[in-house]
Amino acid sequence: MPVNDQPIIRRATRNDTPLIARTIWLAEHTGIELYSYGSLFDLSYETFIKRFSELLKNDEPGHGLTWKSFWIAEINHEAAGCVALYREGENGSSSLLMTGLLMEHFTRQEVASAFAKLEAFRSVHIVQTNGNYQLDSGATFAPHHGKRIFGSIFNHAYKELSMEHPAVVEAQVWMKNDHAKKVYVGLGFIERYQKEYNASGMGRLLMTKEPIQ
Amino acid sequence: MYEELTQIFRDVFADPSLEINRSTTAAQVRGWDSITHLKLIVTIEEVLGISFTGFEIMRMQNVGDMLDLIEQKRRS
Repeated sequence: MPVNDQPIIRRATRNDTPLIARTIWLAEHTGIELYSYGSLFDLSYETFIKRFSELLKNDEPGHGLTWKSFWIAEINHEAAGCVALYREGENGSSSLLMTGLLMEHFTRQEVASAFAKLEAFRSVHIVQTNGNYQLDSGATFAPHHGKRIFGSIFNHAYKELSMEHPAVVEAQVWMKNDHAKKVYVGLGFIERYQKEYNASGMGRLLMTKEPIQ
Repeated sequence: MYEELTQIFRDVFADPSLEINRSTTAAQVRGWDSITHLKLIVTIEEVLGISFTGFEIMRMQNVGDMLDLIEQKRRS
């Protein structure tokens, strides 16, 4: 039987939330991150997948913690990658939406403890621009690395969304994540500005891509 | 209620001259990010003796939504 390596890209559904949770975990745990949901909430991989699979089932659009913001690539009916793209402000501030969502699924004490840790990294916080697309969590799953899956999903999703609202895309990366920077440059992004956390080069970098003409 | 809420905003944002109205959104108030939002919600709950669900918090698009929800909770 011939093997077809061409990905089929589709919108995620509510049933995909375990896969999306895995994507967020992989995207966040690069080894050079200052923080992640896992570290802020003290969650093991197993607990993270369980709790975020539930949390991601929410239907509110316009932020990075809903199945509605994700696209999935499949090769031979197997998930090869997953990427989030949403427009900031389409449903209010994405960070406030996510705060409410976290308060729905975690206790006040858990959220307060997580945000107290986050406060230590406030200096690297980059505010999303209202109206711009946000390229958020994304990952390619083994054994599909090297097949340009991430770029295929992004281009598909951006083209689909741009037909209705052409706008700049923003991507935030950890300054030391050279692999992500290279991928984004290959997709047409340019480096805008960075916010350093310390002198060792830890911090956050904003990259943007101009709208499709 | 509007005055009580204004005072809570001024305390949380540490700005005694902060003015809000029904159409005020997070984008219009300096420092209104996720961390401050949590402090704001928790302070409103403590001071006014009410409790929000996370989904109610998600649907607050502006100060007017917040005021309406607070008044609804205080009536019930």
